[in-house]
Amino acid sequence: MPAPAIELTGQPIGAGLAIISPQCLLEVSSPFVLAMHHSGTMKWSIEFLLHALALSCAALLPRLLCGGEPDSVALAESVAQSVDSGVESTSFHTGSARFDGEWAFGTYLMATLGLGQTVLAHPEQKSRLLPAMQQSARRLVSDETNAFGSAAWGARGLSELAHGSGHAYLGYANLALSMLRLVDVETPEAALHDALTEALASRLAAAPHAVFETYPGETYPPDIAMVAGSIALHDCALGLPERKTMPEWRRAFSRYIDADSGLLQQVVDARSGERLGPARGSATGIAAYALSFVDPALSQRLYDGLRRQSLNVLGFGMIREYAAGQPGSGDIDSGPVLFGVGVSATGFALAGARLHGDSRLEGELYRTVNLFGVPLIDAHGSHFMAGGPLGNAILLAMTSASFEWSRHCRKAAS
Amino acid sequence: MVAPLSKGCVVKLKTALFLLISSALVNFVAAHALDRIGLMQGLLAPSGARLALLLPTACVFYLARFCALFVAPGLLFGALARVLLGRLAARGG
Repeated sequence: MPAPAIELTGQPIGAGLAIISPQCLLEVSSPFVLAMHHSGTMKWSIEFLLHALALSCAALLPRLLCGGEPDSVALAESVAQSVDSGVESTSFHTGSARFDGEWAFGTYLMATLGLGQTVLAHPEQKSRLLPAMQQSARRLVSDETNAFGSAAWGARGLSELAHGSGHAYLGYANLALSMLRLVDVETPEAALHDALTEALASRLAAAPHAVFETYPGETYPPDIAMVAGSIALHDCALGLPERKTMPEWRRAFSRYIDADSGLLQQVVDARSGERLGPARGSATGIAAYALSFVDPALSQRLYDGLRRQSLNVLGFGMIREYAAGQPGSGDIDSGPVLFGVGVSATGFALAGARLHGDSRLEGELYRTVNLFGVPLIDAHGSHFMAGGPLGNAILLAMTSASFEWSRHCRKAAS
Repeated sequence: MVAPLSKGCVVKLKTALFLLISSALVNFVAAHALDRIGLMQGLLAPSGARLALLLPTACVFYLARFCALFVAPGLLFGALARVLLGRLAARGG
């Protein structure tokens, strides 16, 4: 006797499991189905269950396969090796000499920060990683690496510390020097670090709207967050009390956080404090990291904004570059923006998630990094195939971010 | 008496297994090849010949990676379920 036909109009269900149509799964579970096929309600219940089964399999397997914890020590070994090999602005061809220079600068910056954070979390690695950290910091403050800033200003920023102005990009270099100082207080860069910190602190104190220029006519609040973070970490490394101007600076700076989206303005006018352009995920992500050295509550506030812009697709986390519903394209800061999701915003948000104990979003973001970045084991440790020197250094800094530094501040002199 | 399982609603077990193994293999080999060539450096410093090698390899790699993670396991699961339930049904019939 032929089996009674059971009609279902199931459409293919996403990804690979789409091939397993409800019709098919009804057939494979035929003994059960045969007993129940006269009941219309049961038929639809089974269809629903089969859809749910198929979708849950497609949703669960990739998230399991791409999960895991970042191994910052293995990544640090690989980043240390790439620092040793050297990264120059000529390694990049973005089409802009400034951006090529910024990327080489960013590689040494993130490498120094990431190596320092790894040493703080794993003191037994200090003897192996400190030399690379020192070399990275030396290259970070070299004339060659800072040529992009010198070209923009027509003057070398590190030469005119006492009487100069602007050069807010030096906040990034100073944060790296502060991290080095925390790990190695006797570093040969100590004198430069002190002078740079005082120069940046005086420029910050003199800024009428809590920000000053990175390049002539260009002011970026995330760069100023780095300046503030670098000053705070310098003072922590030397056991100095908080500067009197910082509470007022924090209040003034928080006006650049967009109330609707929770994101930080990317560009403002230093003279008027006027906001220019939209608030951005990449700016918010890097500022949430930088401000963790100044004010954890302000950093948390920015991270909350990032979390509001997060997306979860089958367990893979992503962050929008622009607030939901706001159009925008990618640029040198955001990296590619695909379907509204920013590569930089997603990577930088890893640090915020770690710092503020959001293990759920951290895991989701890290899955995305694993999926697209492709972790590989190498002779020195491990690295992400699609990262390149800059991407791997950023991922090291972001996946090793923590408040461990605060346990290493020197005691204030009484 | 139970209905025989239809052929074609899911792929055969061998096909599913082949797809999983081949996509995983391409994923592994292409990942190391792209790492050796330098995917990111190549994209940031594009030169004709290098780019002509990189772009197709990268496309094949990511297709294989998505297949290995999102598609092939589901197909294998379906094929296995078909075989197992088919046997159960045959025994019950």
